[in-house]
Amino acid sequence: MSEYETVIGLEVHAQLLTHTKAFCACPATFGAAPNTQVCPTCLGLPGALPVLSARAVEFAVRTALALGCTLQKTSRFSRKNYFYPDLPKGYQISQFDEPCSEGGALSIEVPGASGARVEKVVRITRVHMEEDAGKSSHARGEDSIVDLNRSGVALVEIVGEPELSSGAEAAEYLRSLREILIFIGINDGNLEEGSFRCDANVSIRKKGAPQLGTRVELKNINSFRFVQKAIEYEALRQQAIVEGGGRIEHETRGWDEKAGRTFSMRSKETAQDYRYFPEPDLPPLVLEDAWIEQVRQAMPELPRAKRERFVSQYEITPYAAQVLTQHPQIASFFEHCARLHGDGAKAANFVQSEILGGIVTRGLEADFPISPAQLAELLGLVDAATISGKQAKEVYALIAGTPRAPADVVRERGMAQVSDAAAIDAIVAAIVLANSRQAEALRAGKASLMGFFVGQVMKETKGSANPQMVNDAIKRALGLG
Amino acid sequence: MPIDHKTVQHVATLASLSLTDEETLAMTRDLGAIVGHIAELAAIDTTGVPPTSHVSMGRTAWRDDVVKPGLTHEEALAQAPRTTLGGFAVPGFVES
Repeated sequence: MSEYETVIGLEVHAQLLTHTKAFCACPATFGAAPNTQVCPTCLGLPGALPVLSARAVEFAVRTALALGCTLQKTSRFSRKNYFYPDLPKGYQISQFDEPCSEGGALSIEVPGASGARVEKVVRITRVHMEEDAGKSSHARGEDSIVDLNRSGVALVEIVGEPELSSGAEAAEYLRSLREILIFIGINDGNLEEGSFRCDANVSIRKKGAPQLGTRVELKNINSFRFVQKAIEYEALRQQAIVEGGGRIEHETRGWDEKAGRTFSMRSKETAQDYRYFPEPDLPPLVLEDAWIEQVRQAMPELPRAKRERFVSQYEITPYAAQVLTQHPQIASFFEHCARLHGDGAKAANFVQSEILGGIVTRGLEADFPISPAQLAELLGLVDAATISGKQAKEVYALIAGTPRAPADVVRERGMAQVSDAAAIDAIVAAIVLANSRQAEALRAGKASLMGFFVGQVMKETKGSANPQMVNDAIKRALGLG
Repeated sequence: MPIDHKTVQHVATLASLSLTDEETLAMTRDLGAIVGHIAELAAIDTTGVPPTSHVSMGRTAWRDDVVKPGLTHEEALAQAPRTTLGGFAVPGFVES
């Protein structure tokens, strides 16, 4: 066992899914041609003034409420001053000493000592509002190119306490947080496009030591798996330095996935001095109690609560509930279908086994091959024994991507099962008569011949007889029941 | 707050300015005079007076989250000294 422990604190920046940027009416959508979603405010032109999006405030408050933070009735925007080519004003509007919320918590599941998963509560320091910077990229030659479409896009920064102790815990924290933000509809959780970004502060200390070690900031890592690996690498790197009698340098490091190591991006020896001061262009942000209450009332159900409710209300397994809540649209599709059909467990099974594989999600959107109403009708046909479970899969394949009613397809294709007991009895009687030798043998105990008779009936009915009824009819005819 | 050589150097670094020794000396003298003048305010007793960051006593206004047209791409880049591939061209700075 190592005598050191790793201490990790995470800062997450999440872009809010507002239509417009935080302080101007430019579109906040991703992927437009460079510098086509800009105006004097987000370009930082002289004289332009910021005006806050109401929706951005609402989404920040939703985030704070989802994480159990205490909202501040009055908070303030500040200017965080630094020079960088993607920051046209020379400052970022952020919240500093008076953020809009403080003191929440995020509960995650981590592997316990016995291997079973246990709950760990990580405290959230604060959730505050700020604006994004632009984006820069390399051009050919010496230049960098600056695109200011992202400049001014509304963000929440979620600062967690340094209470995580491994890369795996950090990854779990990020997964849980991302899931919550997606379920409350404020962020699309897209790491590749950078709408959900994470910085990890990593330090080590002797086990039980009261002081935190010098921290290294890991930045620009765009996958949870890489965050985990980078933290694990970093903990070992720092340990080797300390054990070798060295000193950890306060710096920013990136992750080189190919080499499997972190690398220094910039030293923080010349410590940052952002010279925060209150943003003179924005008076305090005031939240009225009645308004907060409205936001609270309209708050979407959190993923954990949804899972627990699915288990108790629809009598599905915790595992199924987990699978069905991997995306809000999937949860909503399942629930809609379960309500229409009436049997949650059946709906859950079909969604998991047949439908999930074909669903394409894009951010908060998802495309389903069929509607909940079509699926409910299809499951209803199985309940009524009109078609078998196996046939339901065939019908699903036929109606997927179309608005067709399952019953129409069943009728058209002559798929309806023969569930008329008298009709099945008549067919069985004729087959027993024509195969008297086999009938005798089955009666005498040669059970394997059951399959032969079922096969004959299926052949006669082109596979449309209800299998259970066929079995019963054969036993009845031979006096085996 | 006394303005010394070190303070001026620090501020210059934050502002990405390179000052010669002579300039630093001049800045130290000038900034010292300006800040010293403002420092006369410190003589006033402000016990119990909350810091004033805004002259308006109001609250920040909210706007509906509705997209409005901004500048065209051409307008946006019109005043850029240099452009490349639809973006503002700046001396290479992206850290590798």
